[in-house]
Amino acid sequence: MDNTSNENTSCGSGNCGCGSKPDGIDQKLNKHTDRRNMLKSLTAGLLAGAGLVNSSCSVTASDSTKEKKELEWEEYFKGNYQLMTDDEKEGTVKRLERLYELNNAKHTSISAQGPQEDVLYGYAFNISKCQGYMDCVNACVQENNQDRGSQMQYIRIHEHENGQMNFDLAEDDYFHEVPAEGHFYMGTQCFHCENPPCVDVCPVKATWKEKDGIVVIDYDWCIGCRYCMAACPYDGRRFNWSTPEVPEEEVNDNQHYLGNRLRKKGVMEKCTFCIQRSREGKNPACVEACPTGARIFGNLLDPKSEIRWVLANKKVFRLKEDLGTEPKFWYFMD
Amino acid sequence: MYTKIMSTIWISVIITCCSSCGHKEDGQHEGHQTINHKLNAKSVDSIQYEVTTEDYFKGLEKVLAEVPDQEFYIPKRTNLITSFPCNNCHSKALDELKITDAEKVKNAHWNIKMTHANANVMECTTCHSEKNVTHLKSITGKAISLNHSYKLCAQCHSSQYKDWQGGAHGKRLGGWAPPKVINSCVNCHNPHSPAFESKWPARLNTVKLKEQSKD
Amino acid sequence: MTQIKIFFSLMKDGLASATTGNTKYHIWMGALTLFMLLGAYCYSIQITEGLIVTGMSDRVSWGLYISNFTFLVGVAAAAVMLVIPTYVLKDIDFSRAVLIGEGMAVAALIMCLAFVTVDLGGPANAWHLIPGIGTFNFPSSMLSWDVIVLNGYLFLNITIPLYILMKKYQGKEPHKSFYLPGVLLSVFWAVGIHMVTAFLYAGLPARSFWNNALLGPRFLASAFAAGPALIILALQVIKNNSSYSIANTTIRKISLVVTVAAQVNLIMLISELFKEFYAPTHHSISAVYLYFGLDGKNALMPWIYTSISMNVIATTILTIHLLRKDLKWLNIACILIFVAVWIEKGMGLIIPGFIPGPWGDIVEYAPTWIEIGVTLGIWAMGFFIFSILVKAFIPIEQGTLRYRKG
Repeated sequence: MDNTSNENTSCGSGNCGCGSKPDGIDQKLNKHTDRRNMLKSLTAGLLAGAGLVNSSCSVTASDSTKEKKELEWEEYFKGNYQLMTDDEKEGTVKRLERLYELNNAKHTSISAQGPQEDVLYGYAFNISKCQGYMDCVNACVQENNQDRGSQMQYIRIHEHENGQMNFDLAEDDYFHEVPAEGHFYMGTQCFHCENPPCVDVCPVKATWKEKDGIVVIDYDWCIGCRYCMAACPYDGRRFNWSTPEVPEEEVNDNQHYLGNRLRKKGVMEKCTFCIQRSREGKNPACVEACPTGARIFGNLLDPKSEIRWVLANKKVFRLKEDLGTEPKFWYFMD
Repeated sequence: MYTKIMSTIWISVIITCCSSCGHKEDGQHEGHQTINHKLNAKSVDSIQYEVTTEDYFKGLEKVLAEVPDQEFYIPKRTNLITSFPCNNCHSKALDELKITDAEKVKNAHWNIKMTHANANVMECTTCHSEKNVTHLKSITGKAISLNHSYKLCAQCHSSQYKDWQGGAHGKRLGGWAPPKVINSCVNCHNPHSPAFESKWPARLNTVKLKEQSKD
Repeated sequence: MTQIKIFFSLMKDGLASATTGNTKYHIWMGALTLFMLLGAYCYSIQITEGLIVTGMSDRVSWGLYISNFTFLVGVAAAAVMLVIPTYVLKDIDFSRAVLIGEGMAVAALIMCLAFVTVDLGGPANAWHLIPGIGTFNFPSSMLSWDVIVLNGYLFLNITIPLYILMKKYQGKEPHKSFYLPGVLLSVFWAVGIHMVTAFLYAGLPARSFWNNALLGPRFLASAFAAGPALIILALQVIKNNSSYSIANTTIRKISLVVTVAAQVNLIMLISELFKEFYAPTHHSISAVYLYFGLDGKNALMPWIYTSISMNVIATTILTIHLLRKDLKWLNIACILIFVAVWIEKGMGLIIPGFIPGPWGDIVEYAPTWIEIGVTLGIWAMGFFIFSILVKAFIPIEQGTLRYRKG
C-alpha cells in the first residue's frame, strides 16, 4: 500500500523513472533532478557562447533563435517514443509543433493518438477491380508529405500480363492508357506483417508493431542503418537519401507523430495505413482515392467488418506466405 | 589448470546463451502465430468504437439500404437528380409527349447513350416504367424506388450484389468506423454505360528508379 | 599508482617511437594522412547532402561501406589464427608475429566501426545504440549482437597485448595465468564476430542469396585465408624495414593456415555453385545475376570472375609445396587471395543480395567517387593505426625500449 501511494506522489513529472521505464538520456542524466531543468541549464551554458554573437546583432532575433536552439536540444536528447509516458509524448509533440511554427511561421497539428481497444487493422486488395489508374499513389504522396524531390512513393502498382503472376516480368513503369488489354494490376505497399522481420532486425527498436497492428517508425529514434530495408521481403520501406522536399503549400497539416509528420534526411519511413486518418476512424488515403473500390480496409477483430467478410467469403491469398511474415494484406478476385 | 580455465569459459558461454534466449520469451514477442489464429481468439462481437465517421456525412443525405442480414446506409439518390420528380415533365403519357420529326430539334435525354448489354436484353423500358415514371421497375413490373436502384441491378448481377452487401464490391464512404455508408451501384457506375473507361494513369510510377537504372 | 605512471610512460614512449622514423616512414605516414583528409572531406559532403551522394538507392541499400565492413570483420577475426598456436600450443615460432596480428585486428576493428558509422543515415543518433542510455534491441537484432561482439573483441585485443607490453616494458615476464583466459576467450570471440556478421545477412529470409547455412562457415574460411595472407605480407614489410627479425618458419607456418583455409573456401564455393545452378529455382536469381547477368545487366560479372580466377590461381600456388615455400610465389598468392576475398565478400556478396529487388526490378549499383573517397580514407586510417601500433611495440618487444624510473 505504501508503495503505491509513494509512486503516485513522486511521479508528478512522469519521467522520474518509477512509473515506467526511463528512456533515452534520462536514465543517465535524470537520477534525481528534473530533466527539463537539467537540459535547460545545459542549453543555457551552450547558448552562452552562441548567444553572445546573436545578441550583438538583434535582440528579438536571438529570442526566437534561443528558443529554437533550446527546443532542438531537448528534441535531440528525448527518448524512444515507444517508451515515453503520455506526458512525455505530449511534450515532444508540443515541441515539434512549436519548432515548425518557428521555422515556417505556420501552425501544424501533430497527434499522438494511441491505438484503440479491440482494433486490428487489415487490408484487402481486389485484383479484379484495380485498373492501374494510380490515383491511390497521388493521394498517398499528398497525404503523407512524401519527398517530392526523389518522388518517393509507398505504393507500387505492378502491371501483370494475363496468364501469370510473376513479379519479375511485371511492368512497374507503365505509361499508357489503362487498363491495358490483356493485363491486370496489383498494388503493393507495406503489408503490416503480424511477424514483421523489419522490427526484429532494428538494432535500436526504432520501429515496432503497435497494438492495432500498424508497423510504425519513430523517425527521431531511427539511426538510418537500413537493416530493416534489407529485411523486408515486400519492398515496404523507403529511405530519405537526401533532405525531403515538400512545397510548403502542399504540406498536409493534419499529422501524427508516427505518421505523416515531416521527416528529415537519413531516416526510414513507410506506409502507416495513414495512421493519422485510420486512428480517427477514416480510411487510408489510398482507399479513399481509389475510384474502383479495389481497396478495402477495416477492423479484423470485428466479425461484421467488410474485411472479415472478404476473408470469409472470397478466395484470398497473400504474397510470399512461405516466409512466415503473416501480412495483414490480402489479395482476392471477384 | 587449462582444463579448469576451459570449462569455466565454456560454462560462461553456455550461461550467456541461455540467458539471452530467455529474454525472448518474456519480451513483448508473441512468438510465431498465424493471423487466423489471432482472429479467432481475439474477435469481439459487438465492439463499442471510440471513433465515428459521423462528421464526414454532415452534408450527405443517406438512406438505410433494404437488404437482408446487413445494416448499412447508401447516399440518397432522388435529391441529386436535377429534374426529379420526373413527372414535372412526364405529365402526360409517353406517346403524347412525342414530337414529330419535322419540329424535332433535339430529343429529350439526347445525351444518354446505352452501352449496357445488348439491345435484345436492355432498352429504356427494361428499367424505366412508362406509367410510373418516378420509379424504376423490376423485370416483373414491380416498382423500385430510385433510392434503392441496387434492387434493379441485383436482378442480373447477383454475384456483384452479394459481394456489395458483404463489402467486397463497391466503396465505403468516410472510413472504416461506424456508421457504415456504402456507395450504391449508381454512385460509381453510370447505369446507361456501366463499364469503367480506360484512361491515362494519374501519374508515372517510379520515375527516379528508372532513371537510376539507365545510367 | 605506479601502474598508471608506467602506463602513461608507455604511451609517451610509444608515441615518441611512432613519430620517429626514416624519410620513407614519414612519406608513408604523410600519404596516409593525406588520404584520411580526403576521406574526411568526402564524408563532410556526405553529411551535408545525405547518402544521396553515394551510389546506393532504395534497391541496393547497402554498398561499398558495408562490403568493406564485412570483409574487415574477417581480417580482424583472422588474428586468432596466430593467437592459438602462440599462447595455447606454446609454439614459439608464432610469438613474434602474434602482436602484429593483434595490432592488425585492432586496426581492422576500428575500420569496421568506422565503415558502419559512415553508412548510417543519422550518425548523430548513434548514441541510441549504446546499451543503457539508448534502446538496444538485444537479442532480437543481429546488428545489436554485432555491436557487442565487435566492441568486445576490440576490448580483448587492446587489453591483452597492452598487458603483455606493459610487462615487457618493465622487463618482466607476463603471467600466463593472467592473460591466458582472455586469450582463450578471444579465440571463441574471433569465431563469434565473423559468425555473427554472417548471421546478420543469413538471418534475412527476404534475401535468398544470403539466406543459406553455408554463409557463416564460408565467411570463416575466406577470412582465415585473407587475414593471415595480409599478415604474411605485413610481416615481410616490417622485416625489410626494421631490425625486427621474423623467422621464415613463422611465415611458412602462417602460409599453411592460408592454404588450408583457401582450399576449404574453394570447396564451399563449388558447393554453393552446385546448389544454385544444378536445379535453379526462383531463389537462385541473384546468383544468376551475379554470374551471368540479367536483362543485359551484368555489372558484377567482371568482378566475380576476377575473384574466382584469383582464388583458383592462389589456391593452386599455395597447394603446390614447392611454390608455397618460395617467398616470391607465396607473396603473389597472398596478394591474389586477399583481393579475391575482398571482392567475394564485398561486391560479390553484399550487392547481389539486393538484386533483383523484392519485386524483380533490377537496379545496378556502382560506387560514386564520394563513396570511394570515404572508403580510401578509412583504409588509410586503418593502415595509419596499424603503423603506429607496430612502430610502438617493436622496440618494446626487442627490449630496446624499457621503462625508466624517475
